[in-house]
Amino acid sequence: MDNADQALLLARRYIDIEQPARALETLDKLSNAPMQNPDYWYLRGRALYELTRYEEAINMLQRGLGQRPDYTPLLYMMCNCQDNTGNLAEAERAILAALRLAPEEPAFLCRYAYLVAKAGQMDKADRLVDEAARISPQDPMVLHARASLSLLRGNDKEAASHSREMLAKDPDNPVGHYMYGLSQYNSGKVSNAARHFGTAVRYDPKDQDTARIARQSRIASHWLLWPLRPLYKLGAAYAWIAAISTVFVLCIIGQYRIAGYVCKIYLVFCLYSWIMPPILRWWYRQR
Amino acid sequence: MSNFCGPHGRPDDLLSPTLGDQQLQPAGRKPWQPTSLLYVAFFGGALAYTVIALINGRRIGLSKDKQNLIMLLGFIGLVASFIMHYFFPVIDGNFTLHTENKLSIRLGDRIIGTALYLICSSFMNEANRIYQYRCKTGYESLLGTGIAAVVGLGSAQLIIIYGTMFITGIL
Repeated sequence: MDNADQALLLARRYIDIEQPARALETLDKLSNAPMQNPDYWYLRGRALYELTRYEEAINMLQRGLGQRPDYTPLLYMMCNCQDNTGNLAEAERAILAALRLAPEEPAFLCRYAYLVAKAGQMDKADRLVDEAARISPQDPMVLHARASLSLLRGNDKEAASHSREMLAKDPDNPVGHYMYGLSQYNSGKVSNAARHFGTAVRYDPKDQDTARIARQSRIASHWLLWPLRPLYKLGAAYAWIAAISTVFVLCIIGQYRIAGYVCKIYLVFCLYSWIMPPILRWWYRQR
Repeated sequence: MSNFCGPHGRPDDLLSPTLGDQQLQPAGRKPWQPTSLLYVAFFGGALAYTVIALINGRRIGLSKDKQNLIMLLGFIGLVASFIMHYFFPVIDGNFTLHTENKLSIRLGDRIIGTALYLICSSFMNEANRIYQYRCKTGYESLLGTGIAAVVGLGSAQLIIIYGTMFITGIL
């Protein structure tokens, strides 16, 4: 193994342990960079992508593709970078090129599904995930894509079911815990959500998004907010409709006193929901 | 022509490009929280809700078809409100107030507004989630705009309804 191969191996390892800056440094130090090796361009592009320097990453990937246009990891990474710069058409071009070379690759089909879902083409996204599931029904990536699409559709029950499947296959899968937590959080089952987000954070402590939502759900599941659980489950809009309808019906049948009590109780609930969560958030920040 | 091709039995169009030259627009003004639109629908009625829902629809990138559907549903809501005011007028042709109809009108307008919200939210929620997945911007407060819409467009709705009834001689 020569120096260049060792440097590529080391850079890959740095990327695996989420140290893209060090990966880039390792590649920069190479005196005779292996320009002909597509892995060199892939690793540079991947490191820049992880550092959110998308334009530079695209530049690197283009140079790699200039030499090996049929190297699918470069195309996949190009899709990710173009997607993050908001250029969906170029991202689509890249992932379709990858799919022409590897039409049976579930990862590429799922990636394309996310892309079209982002553009609002949910039916096509579903069909792509169906196709990936036909090829590899038990693939966690396919289950993840299914759960994500269900969440985007607002179908939290279906998302929970797909996430449970993911966790049944791999109970230590942080993505499975995150997705299940999200479906539970959206359904107002905040204690369950807090537990699963907590597990996801333990497996992947660097993920800031998961840490933030884990904190939110932990606050929402605090015992001081138990009275608000029905509001969380019902949702603010439906709770409002239920309260107002009850008051209207009570007024129509002449029960003005009871209607007054319902109004007062609902107002107390509203005030409590406005005041208590910020206090708890402040208290958690102080700890 | 067969709907399937190749050895994979995959539909023809599945791997055809469908994003055209789509560029994600940089997130403009943040949308309003979908739940907040209920209060505008409830207090402001069909016209106020339709205008606010259309603005919000544009912000979250709702398709033209869905925007037209909101407009159509808003128009139906306005017509329903018109019919209700026709049967339970608050003022008549001699400008006499009919306070006995106030409760019916209030209740009717709120039911129409809420129904409109529930129907539209069934398809706006999906677009909203996709928008948040794409842009992750959070929401803008609807408080000021919402109150302005309730007062301004709620009054405009009454003027349109009673103006039409006076002009056409229905009242």
